[in-house]
Amino acid sequence: MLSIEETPGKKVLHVLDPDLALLASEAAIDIDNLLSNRSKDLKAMRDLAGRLKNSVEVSAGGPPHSLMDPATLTVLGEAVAQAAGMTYAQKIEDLLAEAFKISDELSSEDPTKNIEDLKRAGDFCMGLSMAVAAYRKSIRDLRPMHPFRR
Amino acid sequence: MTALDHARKRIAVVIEEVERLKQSEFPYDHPRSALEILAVRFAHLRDVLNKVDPSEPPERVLSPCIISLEELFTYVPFLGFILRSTNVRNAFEAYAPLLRLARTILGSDTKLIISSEWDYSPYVYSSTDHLAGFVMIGLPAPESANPLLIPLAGHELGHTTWESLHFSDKFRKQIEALVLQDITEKRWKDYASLYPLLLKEHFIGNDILARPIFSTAYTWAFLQTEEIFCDFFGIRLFAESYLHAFGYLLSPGLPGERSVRYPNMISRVSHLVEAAKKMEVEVELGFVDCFRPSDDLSDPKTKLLVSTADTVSASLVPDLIKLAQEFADNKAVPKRDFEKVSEINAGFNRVIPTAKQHSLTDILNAGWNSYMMPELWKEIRQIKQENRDRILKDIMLKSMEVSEAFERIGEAK
Repeated sequence: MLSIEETPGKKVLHVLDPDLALLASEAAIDIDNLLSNRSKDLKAMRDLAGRLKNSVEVSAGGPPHSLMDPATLTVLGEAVAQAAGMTYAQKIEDLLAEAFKISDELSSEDPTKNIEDLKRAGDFCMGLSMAVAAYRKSIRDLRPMHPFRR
Repeated sequence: MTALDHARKRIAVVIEEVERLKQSEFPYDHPRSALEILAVRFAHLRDVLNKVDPSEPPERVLSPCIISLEELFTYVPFLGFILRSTNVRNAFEAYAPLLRLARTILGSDTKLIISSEWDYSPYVYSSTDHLAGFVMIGLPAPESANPLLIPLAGHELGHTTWESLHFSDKFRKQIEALVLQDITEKRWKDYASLYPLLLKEHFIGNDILARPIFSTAYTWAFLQTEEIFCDFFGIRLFAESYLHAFGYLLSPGLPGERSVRYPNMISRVSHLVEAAKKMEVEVELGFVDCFRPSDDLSDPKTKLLVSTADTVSASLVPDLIKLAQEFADNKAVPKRDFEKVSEINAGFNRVIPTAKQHSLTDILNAGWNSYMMPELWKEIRQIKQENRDRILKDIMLKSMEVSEAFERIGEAK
């Protein structure tokens, strides 16, 4: 039985969210700037970390559980693969655990404490922005183009 | 010049263009408000690009440039849409009643922009986060002054409703389960022969290998589900007039392979008929015969994935009808009233617009009834038959204006 109450809920990662590609790109730039001591703007990182955390349900003792739709999960998998290398995970639970770790790094009080983890988070953010933009384009391309338009 | 230089210059030019567009004469305030919001969006994009250090490795520099270019592809068409909302070809008389309807559905803060496009398809821009609260509906330019096609705005309002009220969340889990069931139970033989390296366990056990296949079928089922809901929402809002407008603009369908984001045209029409029956909306004799099936897809993998999407979206039809009905009923969206439609029709048949307050759906249904009367005004010598449709459309638009005036007088009392 479907209910029709209006519950917007917490912001989770959603591949068709129009802000996501730019947000992830901005977070990657902010990480680069943080690593080179150019600036300490953490807003985009924090925002992205919040969405990531809201997208993974973690229960004590049990495996993490995805609150994302399958398309977002696939795109997230591409981004995590970019950050962790090609042979990082076969199971969704591993992917989610990895994503949760990255969200911890992005929301850390002092993200520069572990430089390697921060670099990895930067790779993830860049990978995520590209994967999201590519997916958005693929949806746009479903619309037929004019036959004489080149 | 580097790619980063180009990206920064491109954004600067768009920001200048937005400033120029703000000087346009807008017939109502909402397009200007949308421009203000888009200006902030582009300024943010400029600021992000300004944060990029060109000395970073190439992939770190090029990535935000790619994103900024994609953003322009996404948002520049909004500017054209807003500019065309100033064009006198648009049916401004329909603006107030459509805004009233949109606010009944989506809340009193809703903003509406009606515009046109030189693409032969009605469309809506989804209300993005930064343009939250905006409904942006466009009709094909040659038809943008045609009130008979206003019912198609019901489909487009459906998209905004679906998105703004997060209706997709209600179906996400259901669609996931149905896609999995279709792949691993109903069509496993077909999937196994086309994807020999994959096992059922890869799908059931959440294996990464199976995700791209699963998520493609899911995405198409998800998109189809939204489109089906929007058709049902159009029927609930505008009843018979929605079906007439749908037939006018889309029959018999386009040639070539079908789109994956809609059900096959014949299925789509069959869903419409099913919803119409449930909502006690009359389907014109011969409506179904106006359409022909779209061609099947030639690529076997795409064909199989879309057949899963078709099965899943079709199985949700009863739930989608119920959702469209219940939601509109709860919002007290007026239903087409046969008696009032007849009353308006009686006026139209004497070339007289309505002289009191009527709902938009009643005016549109009365308009379609008159439009479909072969004998309309044949006995009136002063009306040449070649002018008949134009005059009827004018009378419909005038009726919307008059009705809106009465509505406002009623509110003021």
